[in-house]
Amino acid sequence: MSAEGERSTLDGNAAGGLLREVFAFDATVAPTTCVGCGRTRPMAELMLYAIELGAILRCPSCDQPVVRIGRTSRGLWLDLRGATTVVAADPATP
Amino acid sequence: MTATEAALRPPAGAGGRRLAWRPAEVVERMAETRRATTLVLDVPGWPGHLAGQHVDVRLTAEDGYQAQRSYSIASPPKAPRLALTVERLEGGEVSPWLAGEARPGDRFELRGPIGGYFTWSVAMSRPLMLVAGGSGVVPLMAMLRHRAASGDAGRAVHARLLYSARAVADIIYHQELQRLSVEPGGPEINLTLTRERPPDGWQGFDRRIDAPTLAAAGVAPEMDPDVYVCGPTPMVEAVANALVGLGYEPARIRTERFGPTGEG
Repeated sequence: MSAEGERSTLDGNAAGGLLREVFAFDATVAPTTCVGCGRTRPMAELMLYAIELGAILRCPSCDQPVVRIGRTSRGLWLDLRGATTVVAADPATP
Repeated sequence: MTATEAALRPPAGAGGRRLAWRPAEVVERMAETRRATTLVLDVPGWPGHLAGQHVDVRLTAEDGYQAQRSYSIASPPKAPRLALTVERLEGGEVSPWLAGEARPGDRFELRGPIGGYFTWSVAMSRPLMLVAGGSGVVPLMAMLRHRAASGDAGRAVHARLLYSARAVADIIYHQELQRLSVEPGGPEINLTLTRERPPDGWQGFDRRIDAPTLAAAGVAPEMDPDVYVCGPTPMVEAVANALVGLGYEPARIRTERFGPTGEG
């Protein structure tokens, strides 16, 4: 597992299972706008740090943490302060 | 499952309800290379998948300790059995067992299919350009197998794979790729070696995938291909940047990065 600060070796594709625990839709395809630089890309293209106890998905352009998910004894903890918007794409639309 | 339940179930790969962990049983193992092994699995209730999707694998030790990793599916959507190809990573918690120890009859848990981003179907119909580094070829192989299993519709899709490996012995699916490439309407396969000096008679490239390699072996940007790039992070970033520089439409370039470092 990569620690924060190390170079990410995975992207949001690998967080798809965890994201499905949080969101009712496939968030890997959801256009997500970074609060740091304003760029919009699907969560699959964000850089993934750590996965076992949760995940931090950072913007590949400006390194802003966009999506943070923590696994706690009370459940999953979601911090979306790094995302201006997340669009829940219609699953019927490819 | 009743007909009604089937009708209510979301299509494979679509969003929808939470994924359940399912028991999987190894029915066959095949050594692919020195480090990569394919496991053919029996997964009762598997809902089907799209080419390019992956699964989460969860191993549980006798003391209850659990380790979980994500692996690409190697088998095409309509294959009777699910197949994963796993590369053994030194010091990994999951891949050494999957690639080295798992035998027919062994069981573990998985959930999926996961991910609608890095997926391809023949219905997309545009030319298909695949760029792989190392075991990044696995989800791209599922796409080529899906294409090969789709008859005329598959052959109608112009397809090229450019695949970079360290040495000849590290080329996963080498024989199958050669076989596919000589079939009528088969994909064009270009290989490149990055560490080993190519053997005599080698017809591929012998360098890291760069802009000139992509220009020589890719589907031309004017053909507006769907492009899939999968491999280690530095390779994926270099290829994606080179593709944009060559004029490929950024929105058609899909990337999936995996890391040997610290993962596995």
